[in-house]
Amino acid sequence: MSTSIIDGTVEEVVTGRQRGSITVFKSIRFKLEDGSGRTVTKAVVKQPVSDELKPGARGRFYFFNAFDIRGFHGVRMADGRSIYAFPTNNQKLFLILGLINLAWIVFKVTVDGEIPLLGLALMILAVVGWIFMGKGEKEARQQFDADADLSGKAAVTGA
Amino acid sequence: MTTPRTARDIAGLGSWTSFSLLVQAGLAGAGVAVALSHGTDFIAASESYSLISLLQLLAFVAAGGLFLRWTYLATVNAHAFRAEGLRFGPWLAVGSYFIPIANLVMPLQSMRDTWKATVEPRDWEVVRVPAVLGLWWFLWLASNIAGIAAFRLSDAARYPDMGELAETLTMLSDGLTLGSSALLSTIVRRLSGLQQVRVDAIATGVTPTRPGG
Repeated sequence: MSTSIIDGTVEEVVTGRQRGSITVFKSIRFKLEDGSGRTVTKAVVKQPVSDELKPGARGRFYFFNAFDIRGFHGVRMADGRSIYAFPTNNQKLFLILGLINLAWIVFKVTVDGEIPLLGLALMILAVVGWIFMGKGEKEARQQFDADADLSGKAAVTGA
Repeated sequence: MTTPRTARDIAGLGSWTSFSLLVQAGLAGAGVAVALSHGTDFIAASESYSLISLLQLLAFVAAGGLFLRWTYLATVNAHAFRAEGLRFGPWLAVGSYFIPIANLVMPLQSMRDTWKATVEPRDWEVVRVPAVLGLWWFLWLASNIAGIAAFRLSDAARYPDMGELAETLTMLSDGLTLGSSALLSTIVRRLSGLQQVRVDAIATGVTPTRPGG
């Protein structure tokens, strides 16, 4: 799990699929303050952070990696606006996956007396994913808050 | 924020890992050759094949240990090259081989990220990776599927008429292992070389340039 910061200007955005408040960007190209460029691909971003990722947007962009997803969880724009929103969808999916498979395992053990291997594998995946996603969200929140001096307290709009 | 890591020499470990994978490939090839020369019933009746199977197991353990150590070190270096936003830390890169279901895709993602971050750390996501990585992973998965199917079907009590199919799948698995191990050996050797150039450049204070790859 890791977080990092990109200081620069959004040059180009290629939007991928959108579902609810979540947008998956195929790629986002930044021009960094030292003149070099950096591209971030397959970035998962929640509204209203995603609304700020438009060509020409300048500021500080907060990036996260959490198990199987990566994206932006916060922005502090050059005009002083500060927005935080971490996409928690996958963590919820892992929780649901884990609970369903736990129920399946309990059912099979009770009825047939054997542990279903696929159910066990999926439950292990769900537990690992849920733990890593939770850790990632915590780190993202800490990173964003610790950097609050830049432009005052963040307007928390989602978590 | 992640803690900055220090780039470490990888050429020596890379050479040993690459060599051990070649040994593994050679033993898989020997398995196919013995099976073809012996004909049917080679699993139960061929002493040579039994010996090769034992050696394959030992080689797998040795090469696997070296490769996981190499994976850890290569990922440490990718971070040390100041590539930002990498999906895998060193422990997750190693652990990805052991997480059920996720191990169908995550090890390949990790290897691709490490390759990209080595070639161009600053803007690594736009780097194209050689097709050999995808081919290696395809052969690795296929060899595992064939091997697991062969193992299951070799249970004569449960599948009395599947002995011949089990042997065919065993040979197929060996053939695919030959290909995947040889390709992985090449990948490890090339990536170790690319990383060592950067490690040396950092050590001598020279600004690393983008190597070919």
